Amino acid sequence: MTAGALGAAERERSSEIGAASSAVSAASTIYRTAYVAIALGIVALAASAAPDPAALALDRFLGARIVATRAIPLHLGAETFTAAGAFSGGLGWLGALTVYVFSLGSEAIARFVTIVATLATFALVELRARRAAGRVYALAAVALAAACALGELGIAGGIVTALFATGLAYLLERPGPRTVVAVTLLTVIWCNVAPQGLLAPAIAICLVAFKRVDPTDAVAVAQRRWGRIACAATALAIFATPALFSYPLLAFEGLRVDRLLSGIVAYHPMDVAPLAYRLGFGLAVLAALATGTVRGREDRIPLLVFAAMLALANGAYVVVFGALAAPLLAASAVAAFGKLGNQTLGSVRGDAVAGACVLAFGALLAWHFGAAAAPPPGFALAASLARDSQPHRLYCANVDWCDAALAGSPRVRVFMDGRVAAYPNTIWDAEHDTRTLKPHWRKRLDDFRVDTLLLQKDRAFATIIAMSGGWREVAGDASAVLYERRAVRR
Amino acid sequence: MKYAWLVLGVFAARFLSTAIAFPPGDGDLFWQRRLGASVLANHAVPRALGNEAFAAPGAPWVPQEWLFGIAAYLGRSGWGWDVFSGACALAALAAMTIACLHAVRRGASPVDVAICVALAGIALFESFGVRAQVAVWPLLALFLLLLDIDGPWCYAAAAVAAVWSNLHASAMLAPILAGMVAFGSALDERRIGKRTRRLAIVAVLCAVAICCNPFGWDLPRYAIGLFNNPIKSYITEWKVTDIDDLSFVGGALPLLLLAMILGTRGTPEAPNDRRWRDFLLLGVFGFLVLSAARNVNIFGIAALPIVASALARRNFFGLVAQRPPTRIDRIAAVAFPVGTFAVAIAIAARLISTTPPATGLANAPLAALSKMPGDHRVFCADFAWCSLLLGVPHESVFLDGRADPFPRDVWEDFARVIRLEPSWRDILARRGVDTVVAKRYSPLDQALELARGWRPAYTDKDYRLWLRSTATRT
Repeated sequence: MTAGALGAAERERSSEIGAASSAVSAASTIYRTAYVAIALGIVALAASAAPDPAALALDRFLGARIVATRAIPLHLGAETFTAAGAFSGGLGWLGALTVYVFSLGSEAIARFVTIVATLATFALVELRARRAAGRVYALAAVALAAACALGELGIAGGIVTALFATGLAYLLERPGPRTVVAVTLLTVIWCNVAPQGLLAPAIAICLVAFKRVDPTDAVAVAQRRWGRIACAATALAIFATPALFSYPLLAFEGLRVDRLLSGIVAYHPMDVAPLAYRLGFGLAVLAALATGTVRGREDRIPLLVFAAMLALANGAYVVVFGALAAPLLAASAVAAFGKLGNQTLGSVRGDAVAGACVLAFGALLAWHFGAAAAPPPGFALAASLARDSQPHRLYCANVDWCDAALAGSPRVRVFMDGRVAAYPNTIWDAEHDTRTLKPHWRKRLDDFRVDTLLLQKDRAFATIIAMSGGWREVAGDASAVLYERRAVRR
Repeated sequence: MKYAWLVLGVFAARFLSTAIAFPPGDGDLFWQRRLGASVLANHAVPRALGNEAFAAPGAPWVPQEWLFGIAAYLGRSGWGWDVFSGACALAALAAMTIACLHAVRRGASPVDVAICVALAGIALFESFGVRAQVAVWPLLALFLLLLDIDGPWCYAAAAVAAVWSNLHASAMLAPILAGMVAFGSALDERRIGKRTRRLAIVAVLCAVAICCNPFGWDLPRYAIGLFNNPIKSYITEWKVTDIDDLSFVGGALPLLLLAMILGTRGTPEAPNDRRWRDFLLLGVFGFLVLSAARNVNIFGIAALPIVASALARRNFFGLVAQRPPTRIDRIAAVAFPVGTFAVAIAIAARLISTTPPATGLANAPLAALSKMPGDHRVFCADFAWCSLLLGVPHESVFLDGRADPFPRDVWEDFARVIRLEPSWRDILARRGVDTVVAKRYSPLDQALELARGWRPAYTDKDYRLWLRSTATRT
């Protein structure tokens, strides 16, 4: 080969390398753009989501009481006239205190904290997915988890549960001595923040207990041992709350999956998180049907099943399902569609997948903003009781309204508030029978000396009350109406 | 199949006793019998509501269950009823059996089939009754089996679709399913091969076949209209599937979760050559099952063969299938079905002789009403109750169990009255209602008690019949 020919070959080779480098660089740019776009989308979702007014109101009320009394309230107080003194175990006291502290500042700070929590959740989802499936499917997993979070990213929304659950899953996937400490601490904090802390041992068991390891693999065997220790630690950590051994029972009711609460609280996914259920859950089902689970990794099945059952039991957990299941589905997708997952940077297919993810997410975002829900009805009317100097014994057709009334006025006492777990079953029955106008509902209202009713407008209860004669309408808005007894004895 | 017979036997007992011994609980049979009588008497299928529906006389009607109505009329009493209701139970069993045979044909082991048929049976549980929907279950199972046959037999699916369209409007699913399977076949083959072309022709034939009934194009048009019809929100069966539903949580959901875990792609050792067909079918039925409680049963029937064969591919219980049959196996193959069906019939006979007749259709107040003099324009708090009044002289109803043909404004007025919206009294007055049947102590009953102008004409522990005090009788 002559020197000229060699030079030409080198030039050709260097131009090929240059083209490949620029392709990789372009692909990296696309990936970075995709990640940034999805992150921005999640931020936009979290920032624009309406806060859960009922949860915030109750947390502010409880937080204010903790600060005022410098003690955690272990029993329902005089704010309820049906179950004052019932043991509530101080469920969620840390969460209430946190919300109260943030509510002292501006709402922007609270929103900023929510955004950080949201980003942390999805970062953990991405990390878990990337461990098992690489970058392409990690991106898809984040998009899927975000679809399961549509409508659930408000302040004090389901994202807190998703953050703790994902953090726990992340730690337990590679257990070790430090993991055990971290998992225990995380569980203790979670249990004190919310009743959903009860999910921690279940998630730990699902992740660890069914894991099969090669007995000759010393590292895997050690990890399994530490995993089991972590399981036991989470099971014990749930008692490290003011409720002590009552926590599991109280927290179970606090999960709001008990069908005895039917009607008192909403739990069906189509009522609680319709967008997340229809889009996110539906997509996850389709993804699972297409991929299945990887043979030999059947240890993933319990967590997938547990998360799905949780989401179906209460729509508030569709976001948790998405955060827990998306990395598992990403791992299965690698096995099912390996060629797609193994695409290196610069491949056309990989770029197409990334672009499709961004486009799909953009479409979801547009839909979400297009279908933004109106502010929940009745809350303004409940809060208006604060302007009334008279005390009230209030029955609300929606327990969330009573939370708003409690937070708004210290003179209001309620039939039942959002801490339904702490109310005895007899009060649940009384509430249900009253709301559904079962026989003797008038006697129940008389027995409890209810003098104020906050009811859904144009519904049977309001119509019957309006016809009854003993009540007068004092206020109303587009969706709720407030009645007072004509002869109020206070 | 040998273990599946045992499961089928248990369900046979349950279905037979439910069908024969328990009276219908939704009132549909009453108007279906009347429909059947009308068809036999006039040699024509009615296409509009009559004067018995005073809120919507002349409203166009597609009585999709006309063939079932004839059978219901012929089997309205005595031995006829036993044969007719028993046939409904056998239809459910036939659907399960066909789906089992489909699963076996796809290579599922006896244990896989038994597990899946038990789950599918539970999925049928709550929807089962003497109903037109049940009559089409075996047709759906047969349709899916024929679509899965790689040969000219799959053309028979179009004939099944034609029969299906004369029993129920759910026949609209036939061309959709066939189209999905054709598309899935193209993806499986990675080309438009012979099988795909054949399935595409079947899809087109099915689209034509579902018009082979007295209503022609009106049937699919009616079925499409149901997608966006507000009446679904007033009918329990159309409610969104909930984890509280026994058939869903005990039958369809485990099948769905198994399908999600196993996937449709198969394993490296046993890849699924129907991967995309199965995926699309399960996708459609998965969407349906999560959309409405009434689809739980058809999901069970459709998922059974796919999930059972997926279990076999994973070889969960496959070893049993790979063992050559022994003499005991051969004896068991005969003894199991014979024995289990004998037990089933014995249990059914026992249940039939001991189970008291159920009530719940306001039979007593409506019977009392029919003896009262004068004409009545009746509003039933549960519209299905009013089906019992169809054909009764001097009685006309606001809304009855035929449900679908009633115009939207009738449904909206019905909902306003039931919810006691402020205009409820005006609606009753404007529509000329002079009689209301309500459950005792229900909100409507309490409201009538408080309202002026109504008096109770009949009261028992469950129901109250209200008459307008100033009602004019002719």
